[in-house]
Order: sequence, then structure tokens, then C-alpha cells
Amino acid sequence: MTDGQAAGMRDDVSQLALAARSGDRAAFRELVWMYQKKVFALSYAFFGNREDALDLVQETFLRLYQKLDSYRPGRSFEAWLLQIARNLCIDHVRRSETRLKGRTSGTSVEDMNLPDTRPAAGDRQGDIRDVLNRCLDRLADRQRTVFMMRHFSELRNDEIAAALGISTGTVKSLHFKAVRNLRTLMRPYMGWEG
Amino acid sequence: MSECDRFELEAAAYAEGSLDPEGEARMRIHARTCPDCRRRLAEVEELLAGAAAVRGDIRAVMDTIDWEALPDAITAKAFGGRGPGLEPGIRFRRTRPWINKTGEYATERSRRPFGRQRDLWARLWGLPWGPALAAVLTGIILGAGGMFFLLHPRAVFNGTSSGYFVSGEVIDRAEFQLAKQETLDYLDRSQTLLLDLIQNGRGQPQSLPRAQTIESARALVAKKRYLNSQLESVPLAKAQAICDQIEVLFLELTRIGEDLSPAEAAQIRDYIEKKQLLLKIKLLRSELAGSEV
Repeated sequence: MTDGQAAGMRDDVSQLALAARSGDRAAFRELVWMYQKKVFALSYAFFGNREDALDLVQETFLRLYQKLDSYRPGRSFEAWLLQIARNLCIDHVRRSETRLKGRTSGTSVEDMNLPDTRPAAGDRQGDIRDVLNRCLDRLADRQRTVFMMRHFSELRNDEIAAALGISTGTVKSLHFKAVRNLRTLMRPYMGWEG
Repeated sequence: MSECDRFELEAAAYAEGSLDPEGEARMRIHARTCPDCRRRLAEVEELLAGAAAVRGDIRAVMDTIDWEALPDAITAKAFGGRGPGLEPGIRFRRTRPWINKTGEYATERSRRPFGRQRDLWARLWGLPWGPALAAVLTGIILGAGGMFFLLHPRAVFNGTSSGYFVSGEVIDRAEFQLAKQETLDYLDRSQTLLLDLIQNGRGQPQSLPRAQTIESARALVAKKRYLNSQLESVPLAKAQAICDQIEVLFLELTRIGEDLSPAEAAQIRDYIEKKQLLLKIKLLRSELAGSEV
């Protein structure tokens, strides 16, 4: 997408947001249609299960509807929406402590009975997935969130930065730390030499 | 920075193929000559393959959702009407008490699990001895009322009004005053904490211990949550916007916790300075303190 196209799209989204604010149902539906997958992907990074993520999509857009009056056309709608979603995710995680339950079985990486030798090629990917999920739980919150948003939710660095309210430089730094720490954590279980 | 350090820094981007041609060529040449970095790269590639596998799982989950029907359902809820029928794959759960069945978005204060009590009454009422139960209850209420008036004659209306009357306008003004006081308190406490964080970001010793700083941030996050409901009901949009910016910072701080690195402390200071939070607090405080209520 060229800069001109991006600017055009931003204007369109602003127009939609303003129309939705004045009660245009179709405009609001369009906004939901455009951003529902992004909000779902972001929520999935927090909860790791479909139902909670879907609930959060609904809650985010209902909150958006309530807050449309405070939308300022000059600001990035997407960043604003992702911040609403992210704040709701954090509130939700604090309230319910259901985070990651669907994604992990609750077994710590130390308790896993993983083979020391490399298994057959067909099983290898399943093992990596399992070990990765469990080692992610041992990362610092921000590193884990950035890694999951980047690789699981497929958000760009600037989208992650907008959602977390940090700079893209910080996103890159956190991602680097996450990869480095994951390599260290996964090493004994993957047969990497180190 | 050594070539190996740079390689490690960019290994993930190289494995993902997101480096520019020049950077990619540099990485390729170095990997050819450095066995340690080649091994590092293999590890990163395997790690990212694991992430790609998880991503595949998520895409499979997303494929089970009807993305065309979901916007209609959400729009119907937002606008308070009845939505179209949802397919089984996207049925909203009813375990979330703050979205009620009519699609009304409940406020924080109204999230009460009354539904279970209503179910109990409905079940009791449906039993064969429901009319008898109604008669007994009516008797108890009438009896209690009679006893009250007999034992407390002063409670009976004696023809003179107390003259106590509160208009809606007075209540609105009282609510506004309360919200203003709460906001001023939040701003005062935030200002103290922000000054401490700026000091810390400049490498100067903090006046508060680290644990106490985090605890204060947590308390302010909780206070802001309480404040949200008040700010939504009164015309204090500017105060809300500034308090939201402060809240973002405190949420980050509570997420980082006590192991705040010097680099992170510096970033926090930059955020405070970039957003001019202290100046905004000062202006808002004087504006709120001087406003007529």
C-alpha cells in the first residue's frame, strides 16, 4: 500500500467513525467488519482460547460504540481501537485469571517428560509447538505479549506499538529479548547444543 | 558491536526474510564463515517454525468463525435491537453478566448476579402451593405494616411537610463536585508519582522505594477504574483524556513490576515528558480548582 492509499484509507475510516457516531448503523457495521479479525487476533494473544477472544471482540466494539463521541478524526482509529481492546484484555485477565488456560495444559516445562534425543521428523513440529507454548509462559509479560502479537496475531510492529502504547523501537527490543530468552529456555528440550 | 552480536540481533528478521537485500547478503556471508552463528540461526529458524505451527492453529480457529455474521450481531447489540440469528459457531456465551440478553451494555455498578435470585422466585411461584405462598406473604407484609404504624405513631403523615426537597439539578451539581474532587485527588497523587519516576529516569535516587512506587501505581490504576464511572457521567472530557494518558503509563508500570531496568525507567521519563503530563496536570488542576460549581 502506498502512502497515498494509506492516507486515503485513514480518511475513509475517519468518515466511517464520524458517521457511526451520528447513529449510522451501516457505518458502524463496516467498522466492525474491517477490524474484527485484528481485535480477535490481539485478544487471542492474551487469552489463547477462542471463546474468550470472541467475547472480547464483542466487548471491544460495544465499548467503542460508547466512546465514539470522544473520537478525534485526526488520530489513528486503528491504534485507538486496539488500545481499547488491549485495556479490556488486561482488565479481563486481572479479573478472571483465565489467561493462557486454553493454550497450555498447566504442566510446567520442568515437569514435561520430553525426550533427550531428537524424535522422528513427523513428531518434531508438535514438540516444538508444545515446548514453545510452555516456555512462553516463563517469559516476562511484555516480551511474551509482543512475541505472541507478532507471531500468533500477525500484527505489525507499529500496530503492536500502538496497542501497547510503546514505541516501535521498544517493540523490536522486546521481541529480540523474547527470541533470545526462548532459545535459552527451549535449548535443553530441543537438543540444541548451546 | 561485533559482527556476531549484530547477527544475533537480526537473526529473527533474517529467518523471516524481512531484511533488506544488503542486510541479507551481510548475514548470509557471515553465516557461511561463522559456525556459532550458523547454529544460532538454525535454532531461531526452528523456533520460528514452532511459532508458525501455532499460528496455523490460530488460523484454523479463525476459519471456524463466521466473520460476515459477527458484525451484524455486534451492531445489533450496540444499537440495542434484536440481531439476526447467529450460527452455532459464534454464539455468545451468557456467562458474561455485563452483556444482558437485550443487548444493553451494563455499567460497572449494575453488574450484579440477580438472575439466579429471579430464577429461584420463578421456580417457587410455579409450584402448586404458589397462591397459598402469596397469601401468607401478603399477610406478613400487611401485618408488619400495621405493627409499624401502631408502634411508631410519628411515622404516620401528620399533615405537615418536612419541606425537604432536592431537585435533579442539585444532584447533578453534587455529582459533578464529587467527580471533580476525586479527579483532583487522582491528579495530586499521580503528580507525586510522576515526579518520582522522572527522577528515577534521570538516574537520580528515588524518594520512594521501588516496591512502594509499584504499589502506588497499582492503587492509582484501581482509583482510575473507580473514577471512570464518575467521569463518564459528568462533562469532564478533558480531565478524562488526561487521566487516560496517565493510566496507560501506570498500567505499563504495574506490568513491568519491580524489575524496572534503567532503560525502561528512561523510556517512562521520555513518555512523561513527551506527553507533557506534568504540565497538563498542573493546568487541569488549576482549571478544576477555579471552576464554578
